[in-house]
Amino acid sequence: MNVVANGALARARGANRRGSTSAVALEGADIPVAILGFLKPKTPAMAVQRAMLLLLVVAVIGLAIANPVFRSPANLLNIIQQASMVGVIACGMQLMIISGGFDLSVGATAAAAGCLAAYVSLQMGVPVGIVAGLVLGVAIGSVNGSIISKIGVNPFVATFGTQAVITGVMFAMTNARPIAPLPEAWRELGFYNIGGLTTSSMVFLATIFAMYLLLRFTLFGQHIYAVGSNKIASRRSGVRVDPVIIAVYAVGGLTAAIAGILLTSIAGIGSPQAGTTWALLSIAAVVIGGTPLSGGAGGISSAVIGIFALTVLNNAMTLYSISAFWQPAFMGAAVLIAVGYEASRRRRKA
Amino acid sequence: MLQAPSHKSAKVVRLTPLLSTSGISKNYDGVHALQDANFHIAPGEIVAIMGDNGAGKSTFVKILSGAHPASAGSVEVDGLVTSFKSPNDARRAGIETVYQDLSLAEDLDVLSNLFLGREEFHVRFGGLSILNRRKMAARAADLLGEIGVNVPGVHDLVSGLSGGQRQGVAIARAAGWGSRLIIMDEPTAALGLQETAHVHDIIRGLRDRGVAVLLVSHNMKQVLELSDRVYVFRRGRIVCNLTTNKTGADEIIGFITGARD
Ligand SMILES: Nc1ncnc2c1ncn2[C@@H]1O[C@H](COP(=O)(O)OP(=O)(O)OP(=O)(O)O)[C@@H](O)[C@H]1O
Ligand SMILES: [Mg+2]
Repeated sequence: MNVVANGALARARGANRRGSTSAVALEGADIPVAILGFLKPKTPAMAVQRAMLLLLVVAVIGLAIANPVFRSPANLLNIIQQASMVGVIACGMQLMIISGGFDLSVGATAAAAGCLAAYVSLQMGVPVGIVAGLVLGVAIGSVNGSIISKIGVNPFVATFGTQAVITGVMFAMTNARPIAPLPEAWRELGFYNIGGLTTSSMVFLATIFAMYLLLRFTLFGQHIYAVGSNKIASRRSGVRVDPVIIAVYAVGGLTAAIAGILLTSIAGIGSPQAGTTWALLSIAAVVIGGTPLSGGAGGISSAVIGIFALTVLNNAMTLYSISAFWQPAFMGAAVLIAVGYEASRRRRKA
Repeated sequence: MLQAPSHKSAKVVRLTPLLSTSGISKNYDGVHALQDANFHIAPGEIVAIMGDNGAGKSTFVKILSGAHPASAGSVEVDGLVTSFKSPNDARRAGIETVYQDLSLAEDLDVLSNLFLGREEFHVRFGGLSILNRRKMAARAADLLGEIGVNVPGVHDLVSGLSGGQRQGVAIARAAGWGSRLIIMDEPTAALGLQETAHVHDIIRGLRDRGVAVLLVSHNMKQVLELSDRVYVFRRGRIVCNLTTNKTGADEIIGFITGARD
C-alpha cells in the first residue's frame, strides 16, 4: 500500500488543491512539498491562479519600485479601501461559483439593501437600518437559492430575473431618487478608521477570513464543493443538496447587502442607482483568480487575487493618468486570458 | 456445513436471508418495467443478475437501493418488512450501491469522496461542524488498504485517477461502513483486463468478509467465475434462479433470450 508511504506528500499536495498554500501549514504537512505543489499545479484552474498570483506580485513589486506614490502606505490602504465593497461581494460570489452557479442580482441586492438601511435609519436609527438591510439581502439570496434548487431554474435566468424585479421595485418605490439626508451616524461609520484602515476595509478583511474558514474547515464548505462537482452523486451520498444551495445564495445575498450598506455609509445617501457593475466585476474577479465557472473547485484566494489584480490595475492607471475608459477592456482581456488559458490546459490534459 | 468457509458450500446454509423480496412490481406510467420479482440473498453470497437490455435489472436494483419506490410488493431485511424511501434509508439498513456511473465528485479528493455524507468532526454544529480531516484521512487509508484499492494517496483528486482506481474508490466507499449488502451495477463495464481482475479480487474479498454482493452484469465469464447464483430477468420478470455451479453459459443464455422458459 503506497497510500501510507506517500501520505505526507499527498497530504501536502491535497491541501494545496484549493489553491491556498497557507492552508498547508494548518494541515501540518511539509512546507517544501507544498511549495512543490504550487510550482506544479494539479488542475488547469490552479495553474491559472498561480499565473495570476505571480503576475500580481510582479506588478506590485514593479510598481512599488518604479513609483513612490504607489508604495506610500496611504496608497496601499487606499487600494484595500477601493477593493473592499466589490471584494466583499466577490467573496460571496466565490461560494456561489464553487457551488456551480453565480448571481447576477448582487448589484441590485446591494442597492436595495443600502436603500432600505438608509430608509429605516431615518425612523429607527442606523443599527436597526443595518439589520433591516442585512435581512433583506439574506431574504433575496434565499429566494434566488430556492428558485435555483427547488424549481430548477438555471442560475443565469433565475438571478437575471430577480435582479430585474429588485431594480424595478426599488426604482418604483424611490422614484429612482437617492434617500437623503441621512443621520450623521452613517458618516461616522463610513469614515471611521483604525490607523487608516477604514470600516469597509476591515469588513472586507474579516469577510475574507470568515469565508476562508467556512470553505476550508466546515461541513457546509465541504458540501459546497461536493454539490458544485456532482449534484446527483452528492444527493445519492446523503448530502442535502437543496438546503446547501439555498444557504450558498443566502450568504451571497448577505455579502451583497453588506457591500450596499458600506456604500451607504461612505456616500452618506441611499442610492438606488448603486452597484450596477458589481455583479460582473465580482464574477470577473473570481474567474481571473483562477476559479472555473464549472463549479466544484477554487478557493477564497481566487476572489482575493482577482479583486486585487483589478484594483491594482485601476490604481496604476490612475497613477499614470491612463484614461479610466480602458479599464473594462483590460478586465475583459484578463477574463478571456484566464478562461482561455484554463480551457487550453484542460484540453491538453484530456 | 455450518462452519464450512469455502464459499460455494457456505451458501447451502440458508438461515434467514439478509434480504428478500416478494412480488415486487414497478410501473412507469403504465409501462410494466418489473413484475412480481421474488428474490433473496444471504450474507457472504455473490448473486448475479443477468438479462437483456430493458429487462428490468436496473429498475430492480434502484428499488433495493432506495432510489425508486416499488409500485407493489415488499422488501424484507433480516425477515422484517421494510420500505426504503431514500438511499439513506437503504444505507441505514446496511445496503450500499455502486452506481453504474460511479457517482463520484471528480473535483474532490479521494478522502472527501469516501466520506461524503458521513464526515467526521472535531466539533458538531450543523453546517458549521468542523471537519476532522486527519481522522478521516487515517480511516480512509485503512479502508483502502483493507479492501485492496491502490490509489497514490487519499488527498489526490478523483479526476486524476484511472478507471480502475475510480471503481475502487466507489467500491471502497460502499464497503467501508459495515455494510452488509453491496449492489454493483456493471462494475467492470468500463475497465481493462487487469483492472477487471482486480475488481474481481475486491469482490471476492468482500464475500469472504461475509458481505453479500449483488452483481448486475452482462459479462457471462464474470458471472460464471464470481457468482454463487444467477437470476435471469426477461421483459420485467425473473424467469429463473440458477445455482452457478449447476448451470452453464448455454442454459443462462437460453433463459436470457427466451429459448428456454
Ligand atoms: N424512469 C423510467 N421511466 C419510464 N420507463 C422506464 C424508466 N426506467 C426504465 N424504464 C423502462 O423500464 C424497462 C426496464 O428498464 P431497466 O433500466 O430496468 O432495464 P435494464 O435491465 O437495466 O436494461 P440495461 O441492460 O439496458 O441497463 C425498460 O423498458 C425501460 O424503458
Ligand atoms: Mg440497466
